[in-house]
Amino acid sequence: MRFTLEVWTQASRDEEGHFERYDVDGIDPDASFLEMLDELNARLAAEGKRTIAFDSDCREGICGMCSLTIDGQPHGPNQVTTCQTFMRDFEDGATIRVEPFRSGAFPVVRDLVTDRSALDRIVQAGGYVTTKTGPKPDPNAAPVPPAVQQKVMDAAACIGCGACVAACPNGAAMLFTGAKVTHFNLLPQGQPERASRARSLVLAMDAEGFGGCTNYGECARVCPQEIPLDVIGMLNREYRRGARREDDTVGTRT
Amino acid sequence: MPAHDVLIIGAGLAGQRAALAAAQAGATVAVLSKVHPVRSHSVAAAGGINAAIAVEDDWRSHAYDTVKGSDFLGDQDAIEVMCAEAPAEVLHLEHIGVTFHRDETGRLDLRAFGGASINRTAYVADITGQAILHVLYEQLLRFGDRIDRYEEWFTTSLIVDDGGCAGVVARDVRSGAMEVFAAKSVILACGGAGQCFKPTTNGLICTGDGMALAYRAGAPLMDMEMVQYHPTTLVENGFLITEGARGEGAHLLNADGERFMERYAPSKRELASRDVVSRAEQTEIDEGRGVGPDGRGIYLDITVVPRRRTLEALREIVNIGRDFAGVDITREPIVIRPGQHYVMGGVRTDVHGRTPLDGLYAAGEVACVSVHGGNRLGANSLLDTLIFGRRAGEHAAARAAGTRMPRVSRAPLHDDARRIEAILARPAGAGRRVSEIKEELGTTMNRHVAVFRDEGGLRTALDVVRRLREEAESAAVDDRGTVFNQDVLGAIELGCLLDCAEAMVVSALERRESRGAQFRTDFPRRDDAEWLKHITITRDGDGAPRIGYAPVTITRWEPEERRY
Amino acid sequence: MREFWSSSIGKKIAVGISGAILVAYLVLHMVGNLNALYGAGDGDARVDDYAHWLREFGEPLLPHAFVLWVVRVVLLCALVVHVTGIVQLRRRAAAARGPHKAKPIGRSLASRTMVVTGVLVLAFVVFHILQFTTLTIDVTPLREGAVYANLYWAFQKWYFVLIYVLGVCAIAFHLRHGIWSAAQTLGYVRPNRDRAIRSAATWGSIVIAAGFLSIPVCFWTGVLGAPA
Repeated sequence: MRFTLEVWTQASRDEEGHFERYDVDGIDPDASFLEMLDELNARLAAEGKRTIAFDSDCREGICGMCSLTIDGQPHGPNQVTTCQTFMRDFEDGATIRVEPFRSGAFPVVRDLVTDRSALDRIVQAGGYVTTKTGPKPDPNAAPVPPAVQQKVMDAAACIGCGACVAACPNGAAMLFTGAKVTHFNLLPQGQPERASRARSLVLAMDAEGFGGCTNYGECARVCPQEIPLDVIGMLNREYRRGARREDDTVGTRT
Repeated sequence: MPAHDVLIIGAGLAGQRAALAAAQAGATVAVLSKVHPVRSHSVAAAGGINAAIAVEDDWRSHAYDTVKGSDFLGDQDAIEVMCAEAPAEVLHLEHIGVTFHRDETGRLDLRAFGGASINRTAYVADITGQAILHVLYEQLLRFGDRIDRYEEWFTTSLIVDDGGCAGVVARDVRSGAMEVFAAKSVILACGGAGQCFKPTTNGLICTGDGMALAYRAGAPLMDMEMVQYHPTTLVENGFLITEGARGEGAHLLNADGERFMERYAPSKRELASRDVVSRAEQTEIDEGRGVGPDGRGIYLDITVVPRRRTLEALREIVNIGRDFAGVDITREPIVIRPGQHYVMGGVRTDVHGRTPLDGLYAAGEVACVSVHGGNRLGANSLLDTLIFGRRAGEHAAARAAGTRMPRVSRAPLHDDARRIEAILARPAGAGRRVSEIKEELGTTMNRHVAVFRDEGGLRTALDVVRRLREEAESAAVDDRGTVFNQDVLGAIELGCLLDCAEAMVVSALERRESRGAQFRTDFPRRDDAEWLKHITITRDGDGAPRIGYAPVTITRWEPEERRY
Repeated sequence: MREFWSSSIGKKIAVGISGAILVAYLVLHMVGNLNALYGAGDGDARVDDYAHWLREFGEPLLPHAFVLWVVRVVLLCALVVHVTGIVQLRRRAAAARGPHKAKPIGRSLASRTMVVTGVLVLAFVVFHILQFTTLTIDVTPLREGAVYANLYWAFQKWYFVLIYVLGVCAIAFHLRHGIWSAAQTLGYVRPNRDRAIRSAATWGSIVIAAGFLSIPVCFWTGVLGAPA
């Protein structure tokens, strides 16, 4: 198969970027999108030209590192990570636009590589359980009903890729934050800090410059782990409950 | 110059667990990772973590299964420690938010796994590694005031001073800037070296950096010939299909539709230890009963597992089967074959994670304690990383309390900077490309240092590895810039891979017997009289690998014949 | 309270609640308007009586048209909160998104046009007030208190009918996304209710629109005859 790629090229964070055109042919239809980029890079290198920088690691959809926006859709046309997107899903001869995940909160490091540490700073505000050292309670003493466990697991499946942010017209990180809050606020050991957790994470989320949610729902349409919009409803509920209290926020408690 | 009590290289499960333990013990901690911590390869671990939590279980049973699984090469004192401490660690994980699977009554569910005499594997669908890694990272963020994270920093060398490890030199991947880090204790947690093989289940980052760093600093590597081939990797691309599938009841079938494991392991069948299953599969393939387009595969039949259960507990495999093999695993079998997965060998350590080099620790896949001996049981690796990560962190913190901060000069930084400049200055087109050398290394290792080995094949492999090392000296990189230069890192990683590969082949040649994952067709029997010992590889003054031996610690279980 | 307003979720909750107040008014207004469907009466249209009743409610205890003015003040406040909140959220979104806009992946037309329909609704409301409340747009005969007659004459003109149809359609679109969005923001949507709430939003918008549109359409098509 052959393609024309328009790839975002940016030398460093503070420099301007632009789209660069490349023609690539002889691509195996079963090659993944990243394998196609590898092939392109190999040919560029052989010609002594500048190669395209992009993030990747596990190549199997679990590490959350690959972060390409393909033809305007984060990760690509199917609801899977870029590394699991195959060239057979594109039309032969198509022109494909390749960009990094776009968000004001994800500065571009180089070409298609972005800095997603804003998501970490949200988690740092309280996306965890505060424990003391010492013997831990027997998990079987606090049984978790299967329905709850399923919900928690669905939320905990988040791989932190940031596609939700890249798909949101408002640049919001609600699906990510909602997943964290849903995960911890439903567990028995997450109950003591339930109210302040939602509040702290939302404060941090806003402070990082993410936008607000107006319920477009694009985030859930691109999430490769299929995290449901319900986590946003949960976050809204938990925030409302937490907003009434004047507790210390979790982040200041060690 | 950053100076910390405990410096940890690698932020996978072992590294993060060590950081948490050291921080909770009051030490100042730095974690250096060449990728963002949650992208570490631990995230891909699927099946589960072993612990004797069930009321009817006993850690001694777990320990015996592990000793037997290791083909009696494992050090039993270390194995006892790991198995005895496992239940507390799993409880700790559950408490900090790992969403272990629960059964219909809401209680912790335990699944069956290879080589285990009783169900004892706690799991999170088939993304156990992801679940634990993310929750640990969240804890690390919680201790943000005590743990300094240097994310996307590549460690280029260990600094050895006065016979002890005093710190490291590392490069910021984003900007290319280099820095010297002083530390009272250094813990290696860099993971395995799967990229020596092609295909492998390991991600691109698994390039044996830690093993090479330790080796070059004079610490011994141990059991490097013990390389695990996982029985079920997808033939299309080498992706891992978790052992959990067999744990749920999936069957292995040959071209005759026969469930051949009945013949090789009448008792445990598909859930025998991995080396036994891989060898069985390879034998079926070699004897002409393989399946798939080139006859080099075996059927993994998951259709026998109730569909609902598959969709609940094997989600990732459903996705992988659909996306990569175009198969609905609930309706038809997928074609798999043995693929490189894990390195039992590594940097030699004691039960506290200490290497013979003062101040240097190691934990996780990079280390060899040895708890896995000749073969690792499934779901024991997650356990190994957490138990010895924690122990290394605690011990390193305690050691730091009684040690002065070493004074480190910036000379090693200049050495490494010069090395990198030399790489960048290599003329283009003069030598082979880094990717080509890596490809040849991978296919060579996968042909001659795989499930079945012999002297001829190993010697060929050694020649190739040595030739590739020379070629690597002149391999040019494409990107000569400083910002986010992945190519120059690739060249450095290639050097690490070649060091590890050499150690693996030399050890495999030295061990003239078959034990665990090493099966030599020219020495097919296990020989306890001669070979019940570890093989160590230490770098000589002039850079050549020197072979040594270390005894196997036996506490309760005398070696016996291994039958499944 | 300050923290609540300055947080993105808090602000959106305020937008949702103020929107709910506005929708509640719309429902009451729509139902009240249906009195026009009773016809001209004998010079004593029911809708005229209804309009008088609204102004006389609570007399002599409460001043003339007290209830009406209370409602008007509440609506004005709700409107200010609603518009201010959305304007601030849009500004934050523009900064958060950066220069590269998000390609629509599956978002509904209603959700994509909220600002457009919102502005149209606001313009329409201003027009409507100028026509039937302040009686300023007196292209057709308008007389204080003669509600049925005012409506009849206005809706003989095709262009007024068109304006009202467009205005009400804008309302319907705005509500279709707005109702569900408010429910989600307030945390009322749960997996087992999601379908039902989406359905309620769609059908609610249709019913409200149909209720409003029945008036101009009935006058225009002659179903409702001339005043007595």
